[in-house]
Formats: sequence, structure tokens, C-alpha cells
Amino acid sequence: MSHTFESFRPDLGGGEASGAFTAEGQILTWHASPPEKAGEQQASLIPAILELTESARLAGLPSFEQIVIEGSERKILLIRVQEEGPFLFLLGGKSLDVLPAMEKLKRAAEAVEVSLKEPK
Amino acid sequence: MTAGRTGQPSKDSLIFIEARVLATLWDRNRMVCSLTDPLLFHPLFCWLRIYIPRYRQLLLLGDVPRETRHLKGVRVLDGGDLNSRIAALEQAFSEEETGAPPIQVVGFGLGEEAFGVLRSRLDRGWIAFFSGLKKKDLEDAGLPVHEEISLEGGDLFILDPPPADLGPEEELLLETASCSPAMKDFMIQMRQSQMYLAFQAIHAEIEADRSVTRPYLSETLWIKEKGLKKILRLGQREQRLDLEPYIKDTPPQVIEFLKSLSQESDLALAALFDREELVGYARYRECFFPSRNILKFKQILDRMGNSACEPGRPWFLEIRAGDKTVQVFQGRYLYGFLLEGGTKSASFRNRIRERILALERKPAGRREPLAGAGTK
Repeated sequence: MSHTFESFRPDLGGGEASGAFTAEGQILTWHASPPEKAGEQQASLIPAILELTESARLAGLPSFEQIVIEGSERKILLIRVQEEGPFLFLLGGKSLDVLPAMEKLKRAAEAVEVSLKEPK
Repeated sequence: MTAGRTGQPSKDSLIFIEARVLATLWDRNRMVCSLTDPLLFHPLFCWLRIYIPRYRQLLLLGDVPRETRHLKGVRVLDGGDLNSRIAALEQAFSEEETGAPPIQVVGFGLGEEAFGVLRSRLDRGWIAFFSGLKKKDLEDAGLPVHEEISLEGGDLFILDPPPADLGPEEELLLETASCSPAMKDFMIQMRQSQMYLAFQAIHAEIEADRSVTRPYLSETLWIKEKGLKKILRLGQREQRLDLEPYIKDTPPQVIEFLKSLSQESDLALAALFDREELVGYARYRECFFPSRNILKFKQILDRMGNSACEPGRPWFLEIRAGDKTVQVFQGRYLYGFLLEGGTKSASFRNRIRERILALERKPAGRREPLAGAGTK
């Protein structure tokens, strides 16, 4: 399975981080630019995102499909894929153009989803 | 017992009359019932009783009908002389201010002296039953009649003006119009008890030095503006406590902003916070989404720090989940919107961003540019 997730590497155009993790916070793949930032990114983003999704669930919202966070500096896009998961796919960076970046993220996540469905 | 002014009143006008009677008793205004026959005292009292909040102490005076004496929850003051009965009444009346349940006095066939003492000592919260009393008799005794309602077998004389807005009463009577008497009684008593308890809760919040805003009360107590007015007026009538000055109003520009969103067909809810304080709240359709969730999202994003949202700087959050979308904007206020149905959330975002910018231009003070202003 880890090989499948390694293929998730959306074009980081403008991005600083991309990765996939489980709803329990287990990291499946992570790419950072520059690479030495990976640990810091994971430590600050993943717990907060899991807390956000849990708060949304407690607020009575159905399972989320996508989340967009646009800060003054950075943008973070997140989509959730149910297949054998759920798995959360993230793309973040300073100069992301939200709509095209979200499309890229979806396509990349779909590719992973398709490969997960393929007979092993 | 039915009420009517002339001939056969329509259902609407019956509700109108009933609303005035309900409002009079609920607001503890004074009322005199004049009947042709004392045998009608008990049936009329039973008709009026469902409008008197059950949490009040019901104190009966005078020539109380036998059937009335045996009703549950009534206390008959008939021992001792007139002075000792009046002293007992005054004590119960004064104890209201220290938190004792409010009293409702009902006098039956009182003599001239007893009625004179009752009306001079108690400025509210009493009903007096007489037989054959005319409006002129009351006016000659210095009790101007505000309104007269004709009944089969007598008249009701309302001495104090009812509240200008009878909306809460009319709404309640329309809701219960097709109910059985027992269910109608239950629903009226439930609403009256809710309002009484709501007032106690507001009082406790203020005593605990919590900041209380009108939108906060409206959301937490699940009431409309006119319901809140009724609660505050009842507190004044029952406990002589005016909490109005302690409740912060929604800023006029925020009210205007919320009203302007009523045309957004998929918008279910909007909430605006000034720091932790809910300063604007509107529910455009039935939904359950406590506005505190918006604050919770903000706290989480604040903790993300420089990873995404720098503290004190504007940001935008969108969560799409099934048929619901939540959008949160951090600007001068924290804005939260819940959308339901097939909204194109990007176009909603663009429209709302313009309205937020217009709102933030209005009042004086710090203004931050809105996050994601360039998103199409």
C-alpha cells in the first residue's frame, strides 16, 4: 500500500507540502519543499487538521469532502477519500492558486484511489 | 365559557380576544370579572386558569366557590380578619423580590373594604370576581377601564393596557387552536414556564458577570426577538427586575447585514462574533448548528499558527460536507455561514465577501483586508 501512496506526488507548483494520512494521523506519504521542513509541517498541520475534522463531525456535519484554508500567508487544501480509509490528501503552500490546485489534488487522489481498487 | 363581542365572532377575532385575556393574565395586569350570577364564577375561573402561569402561587380571597376551593394548587386565605389576610398577601407580594414564586390573587365577591384594600396594596397580579358590577361602578371608584370584553353571562374589564405586541400570545393560541383542552393547557403552561426559567437563566448569567448579547440569548434560548422582549417584560412584572440595560444590542449595521442575506436561498444560518461575543445571529431556515462551532474552528486555526493562519490576520475556511458547506471568514468580526443544498459555494463566497467588505467599511475602527480577496 505504501508504494501506492508514494505515487501521490501532485505537482507542487506553488506548494510547499503534499501528503496523505489516515483519519488516525498515520502518515502514508509526505513531500516537503524544502525536504527538511517535512517534520515541522507534519507536527503543526496534521493534529490541527484532525482536530478540525473531528470538530466538524461533532458539530453535526456529514463527513467532509474537501476543506480549504486560506491564511494570509499560506493556503491548505484537503480532500477526503473514503476508499479503504478514509484517507486525507493535503496540499499546502504560499502561492497556490486554489481552484486549479484543488483540481490537481483531486486528480492525484483519484489516481491513488483507482490504484487501491486494482487487484493486488 | 366563550367570549364574543357581537353575534358569532370569527375564529380570528376569538383568538384576538383570547390573546388579550392571556396577555393580561400572563403580564399580571389587573382584571375585574362581572357576571350576572355568582354560579358562573367557577366556570369562568376555570376558563381563565389555563392562562395563569402554574408556577405562580394562586391565592384565593373572599367568598370562594366550593368547587374552586378544591382545585389543586390553590391556597385559600380565609382565616383571621381582613387585616391578617391582607398582611399575608403583602408578605407574599414582597417576597417575590427575594426570589419567591410570584403570586396571583383572585378575589371572589369581595366587600367594598376588602376590594379597596386589595387594589390599594397590590398594583398588579389580581383578578376580582363580582356579580352585577357595572363599568361605571369601577370608574366611580377610581378604576378606569382600559378595555371591556363581553362574555356570555357577563363582562371582563381589563384595567391595564395590554402589551403593544401580542405576537407571542397570538402565536401560542394559533399553535394550540386545534388542541384538546388538556393539550392546550399543557402547551400554554410549558411556554410560560420556559419563559420564567429563561428569565432566571439570564439573571444568573448577568449576576455571574458574563457578557450577554441579544443574539446570544436568541440562539441559546431558541427564541425570536419578540419572545425575548416578553421574557424581559415578565421579569419586570413578576420580579421587578429590569435586565434590559445589561443586555448588549446587535449593532445596527450588523442587523442590516444579516437582513441583506435573506435573499440567499441556500443560506441556513449566519453568525458574527466580536472576539468571543456573538454580536449577530440569524437563522434563515430550520437547522441545528450551534454558533459556538465557528469559534471552535477559529481556535483550531489560531493554533495552526504560521503553518496557515497567522494570529490576528484575516483568513478563510471552507468545509464542504455532503449537502452542507460551512464558510468562515476572519476579518474585523469572525463570520460564520452554514449553507445547505446546491449552492455554488464559490459564487456565494464572492457575494458575501463584497457584503463583508461593505460592512467593515461602515463603523470606525481597525479594518483588515479580507482573506482570499482575489479568489474567483
